[in-house]
Amino acid sequence: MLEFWSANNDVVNSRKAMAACLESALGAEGECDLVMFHTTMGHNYRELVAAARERCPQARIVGCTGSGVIARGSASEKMRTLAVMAIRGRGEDFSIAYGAELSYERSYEVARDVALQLKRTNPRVNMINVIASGIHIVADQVLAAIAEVFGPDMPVFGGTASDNIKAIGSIQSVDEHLLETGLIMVGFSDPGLELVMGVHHGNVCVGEGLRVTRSQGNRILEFNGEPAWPLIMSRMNLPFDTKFEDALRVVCFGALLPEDLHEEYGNQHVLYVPFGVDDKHQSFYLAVTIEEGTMLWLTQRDETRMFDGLDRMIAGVLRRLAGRKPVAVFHTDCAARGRMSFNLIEKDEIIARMQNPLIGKDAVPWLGLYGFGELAMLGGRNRFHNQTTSVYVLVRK
Amino acid sequence: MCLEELRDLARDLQSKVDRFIVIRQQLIDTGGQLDRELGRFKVIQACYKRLLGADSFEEFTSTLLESILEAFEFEGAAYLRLDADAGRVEVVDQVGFEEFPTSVPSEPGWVPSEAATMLQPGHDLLVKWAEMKLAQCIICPFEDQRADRIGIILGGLTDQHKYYFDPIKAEVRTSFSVMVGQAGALLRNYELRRNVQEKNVQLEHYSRNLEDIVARRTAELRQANENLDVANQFIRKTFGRYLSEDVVETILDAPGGATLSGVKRRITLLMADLRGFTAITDCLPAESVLELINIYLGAMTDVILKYGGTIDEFLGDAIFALFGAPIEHGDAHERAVACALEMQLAMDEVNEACRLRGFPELQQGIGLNTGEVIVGNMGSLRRSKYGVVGRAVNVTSRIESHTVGGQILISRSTRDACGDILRIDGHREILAKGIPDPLEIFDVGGIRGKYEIHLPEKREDQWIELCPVLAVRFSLVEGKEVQRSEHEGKIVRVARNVAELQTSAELQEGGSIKLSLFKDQGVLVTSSLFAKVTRRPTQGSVEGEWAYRLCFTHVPTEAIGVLRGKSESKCPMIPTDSYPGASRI
Repeated sequence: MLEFWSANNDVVNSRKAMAACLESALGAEGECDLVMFHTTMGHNYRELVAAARERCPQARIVGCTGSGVIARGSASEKMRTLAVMAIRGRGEDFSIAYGAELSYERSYEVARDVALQLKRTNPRVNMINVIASGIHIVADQVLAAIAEVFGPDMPVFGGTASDNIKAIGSIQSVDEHLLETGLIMVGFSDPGLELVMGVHHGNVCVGEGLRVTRSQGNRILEFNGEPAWPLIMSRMNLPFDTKFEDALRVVCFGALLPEDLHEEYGNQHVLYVPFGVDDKHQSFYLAVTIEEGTMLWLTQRDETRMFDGLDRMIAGVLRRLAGRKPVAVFHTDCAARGRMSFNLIEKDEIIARMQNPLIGKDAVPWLGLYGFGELAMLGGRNRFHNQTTSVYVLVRK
Repeated sequence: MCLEELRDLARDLQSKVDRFIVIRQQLIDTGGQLDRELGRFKVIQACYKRLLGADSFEEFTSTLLESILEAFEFEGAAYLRLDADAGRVEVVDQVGFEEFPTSVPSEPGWVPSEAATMLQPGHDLLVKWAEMKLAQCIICPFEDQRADRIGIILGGLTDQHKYYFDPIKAEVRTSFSVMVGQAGALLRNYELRRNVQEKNVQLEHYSRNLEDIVARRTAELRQANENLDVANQFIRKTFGRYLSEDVVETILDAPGGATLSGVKRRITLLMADLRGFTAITDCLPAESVLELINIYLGAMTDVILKYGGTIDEFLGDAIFALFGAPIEHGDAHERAVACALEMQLAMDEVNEACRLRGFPELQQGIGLNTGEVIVGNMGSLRRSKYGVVGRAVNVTSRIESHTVGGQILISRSTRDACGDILRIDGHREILAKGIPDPLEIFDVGGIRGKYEIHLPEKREDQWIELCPVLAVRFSLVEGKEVQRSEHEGKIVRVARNVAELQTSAELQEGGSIKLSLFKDQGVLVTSSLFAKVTRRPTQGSVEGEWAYRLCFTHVPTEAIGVLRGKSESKCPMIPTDSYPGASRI
């Protein structure tokens, strides 16, 4: 049976930060079998892993960077912030597999290899937490590979690692292996655990849609017969060679969902954010495969819809929990839903509106990541999202 | 409006909305910067509190650097200080940089004149400090108020990781300057605070434990007082046996007033001895001897202490006392003479006590001498006493040896010291063993003035001629030893405690003899009759014989009747009244 504890801090010293988190989570003497952590840029990542190893010599250690972390009662986007989930379980309760060379071109192969590895390690996996580099992934390919290996009903949750919204790179790690193009799968196989997910976003489409007239996988070459990126920059009244990290903050596309998903999603569109642009700033890359002929709309965040949508999503999760108390909550939030969208007060409020109904004052372990993308089920199928709040609530059956 | 116009209007509106997205995001980002600035301010505030709580200078600088990273989100921060001896800038501490040199070259102007200076890529200093691999940094002078720890605080980004961090903007200069400057000022306050904290901890400790401390100190003082009392009691008990109460008080109250270390001093020595006590000890059981002598010593001790004398020693039946040490009485010689007189007067009570117990009566002779001696604590660590050495001690002993029972003999020096206040009943010269020159000695009968005390006037001896004479055989007594050789003689007349011996043997004045007395037909009466030769011989009634005046020092009971029986006046042969009746010299 899996048991969970969590903690977080903003201690600048990397070793002290990890040591303090684990002591806070486990106490002075407690041990665990799996340490999962999220951190922002700035920490000495190796020192974090070393400190975790020192504290829990026998544990597996999995982590990644993001633009912020969310913990019970708080969210932080500071440099050098850290959040940890310590998990105790028997050897067969979880397993880990990873691949080191994730790329747009090889997302499917890498994911398939990792999934097969995971299945060989533990065929009884009943839910998979995925951590991957946010700027090297074609997420739908990864999900397709997982579906091929484990079947389409295998719940996949998690998100993509990021930096501090610069889209330069990120770090993912398994034990002492630090990766920059990594794909990690943590498979849980506790038969008593059930995963209840919720996902929503609060964006609205703006203006005329853009038809993808040329694309290559996740690369969008043309909108309406014109070079895609310059057209977008033009619509934003931005120079076409605008620094990508600046453009990243304002460009977000919406793609129409099948109608039967609108109600569940609370929205008609799923969002995709570009995570790269070519050298000539002509085309750009999304984290999903886009077929030619797909209509994409520019979107913008609507705070009212974000708050309302959050409430609606949490209500749905609570209905499915049917009164059961969460054992632990994993959480992936889009980097754009942090200080890019909210001031300090609003961010505190949105976190509170998410956590209070789910866990109240209870000390339910909570580990969240402000990342570049979220993985959550929608309509019974695993899907990649951007600019959502996705919560993954573990509860006893 | 036609469709085309509407389409253009829609496009224009869309464009505005699209631009609005950008503008709105810029506004949000600006608001976020304000939030971060507020957060930075809070971190700086919290930093000062942490700095004051630092336990060491190293912790102080480490806390400052970590706080800088927290506030400004640089990649790393460092404290650099000039190492004058090495001629380099030492990296005292750094936080955040994965790799950083331990020192860099000292360059002119490396400490900025302004509060904070931005060093942009390509700056001369960054080039010269290439080991740091800094792409950009901000530096600020760091010094305490005494300006003896001069250095800089640096926050920077390295070439390798700069893209992950926001560039250092000019807007942070002010807050960075304030933070570093305040930290420098806090250095001195930190040291003061550490001192105050330590004092407060001590104060708190003392306050918390004050009651315990007071109780403990009180108990210690009580114990010390008890120990002191015990010591004082011991001293009183010890000294008190030998010193008068006022002398003991003087020593205890003002120890400096009584020197116990060796000093040369002019004092008066007193020696008192029981006459014929040795013979008495042969006749009595041991416990009776002890009781008898303690009656005597107890009475004499009271008198000596009354006159402020120091009992140096009890030598069996003899007493050796000092007057003038350890306390320097100005009239020590007068005290000594008065003490001796009262000691003789006290023998009446002593003998009354002896009679009640059936003990024989006692007689004492007292010798006094004034002279320079060395007094002080003598002996070893294991055993010591307040003692006296000097020629005057020997002289005193010799004078005493010439006394008969009831007599007080003093030396010329004592006589001169006391002056005309003494009643001198006689004087003569003696030759004393170990003293080359004749000693002039004086028979003291009283003292006038402050101490006004007198012995009864001496009566003329009432001689009774013995017929027939009493035959005696006698041996000389040297110290306590009776010589083997015997001499013959006869007692021709007797008076109160004195007799005239005629013999051909040569006897020394002041010498002691042990006699065997025979009555008619040569019947032995006693062989334990002791006497002292008190006068130089005169011509005996028979040619070739000398007549010696004897003073009996011990008359056994069996001899009393014989000697009395030969006396027509039936006068007692041993003193039984209040005054021992010392004979004239």
